Amino acid sequence: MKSSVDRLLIIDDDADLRNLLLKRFRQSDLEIDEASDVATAKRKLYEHTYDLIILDLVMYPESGYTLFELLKEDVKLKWIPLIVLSGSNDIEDKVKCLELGADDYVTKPFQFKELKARVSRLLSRARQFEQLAFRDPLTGIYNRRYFNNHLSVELQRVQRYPSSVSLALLDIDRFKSINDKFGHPVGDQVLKGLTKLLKANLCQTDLLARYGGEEFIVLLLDTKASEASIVIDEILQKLRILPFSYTDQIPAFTFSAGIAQWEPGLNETEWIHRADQQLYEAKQKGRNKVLIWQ
Amino acid sequence: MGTYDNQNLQKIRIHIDADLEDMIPGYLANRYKDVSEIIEALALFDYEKILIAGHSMKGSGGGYGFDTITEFGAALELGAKNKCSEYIFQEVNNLKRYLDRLEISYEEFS
Repeated sequence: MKSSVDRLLIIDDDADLRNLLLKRFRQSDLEIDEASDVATAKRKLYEHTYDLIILDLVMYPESGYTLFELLKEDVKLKWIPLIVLSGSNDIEDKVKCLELGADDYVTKPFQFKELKARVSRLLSRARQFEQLAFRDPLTGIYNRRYFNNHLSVELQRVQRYPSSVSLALLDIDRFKSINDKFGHPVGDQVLKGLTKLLKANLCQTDLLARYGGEEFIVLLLDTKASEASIVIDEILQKLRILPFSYTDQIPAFTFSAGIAQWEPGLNETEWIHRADQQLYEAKQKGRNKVLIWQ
Repeated sequence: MGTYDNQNLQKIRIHIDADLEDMIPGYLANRYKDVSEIIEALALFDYEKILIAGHSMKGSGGGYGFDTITEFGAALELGAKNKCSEYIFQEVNNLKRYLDRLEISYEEFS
């Protein structure tokens, strides 16, 4: 999951320049990482999460250009703002980089103050973009678009480093009736209330998103389906016992859930489909329950 | 780049951001290393090595507060591109003399 401190990756083959940037940026409350060549950069980009990349163009033995395809096509990396920091003042290089997807181009030698301002602007714009593109405005949690994107990234990771990962799909029971009986503002309170309960009871590493109208989805890392079932079932029990008693404006409600654990060879669509089938079964069997794909 | 009089021992005073004080000796030591490596590369007509060294100097000099090193870097890069040994030899010697004459003072920049 994303931390609150922005993290930069500086890719440059000149150790003196990297050291200078590391020192300067570390004074700016940013987390900084470095790579001296393209191969190291590729490894770090897959192992860690970054909020912005500063890329040198003229590097040896591999040019910075060789990273562009990866940076702009990979599902995990394509949203990361990219500043090209290059000694080339050639207009053709500038145009090529911008056409390939760079967000900015700064020529060396540079004034650190200017580079820092450009970094801040891009980070701020990226945060605004994330808020608009990837967050559900009502509940504040991630939306379906972000979840699907993140799921692809997670699938790449788990295929490379196998571990137990489970998906839980939750749907509020009889939500339409709540809306019809109490009105949409109360329906909104139900959605916000369940969000709050889920956030309070899930791990920091779990990814929670609003998947549809009254549907939520949770990606539970390092968690078997049986363990995920316990977590989700405990949340359901809390909902049954304490149906948002802190406000009498919200009626008692429950949810149904389906859980599926990732298995080798399973793609995103099939994985979600398995969880969805169990959710459907839970609804068919009377709602207010959690079922696991066996 | 202009030439530096070999006999003129007058120091060149440069004001550097105090934040970088711990990094400057290492940075300048690396430039002396560049000088040696460029002279060696010149003897072998290894212009690519000179091009890389010049390019790096051009990129980093100004950031540390040495605009003149950036200028030397650009000149060496140009010399390497044009495979002009005499020009490179002149510039690398001028760089060496420039480094020898540097006198650094550190100041708090806002």
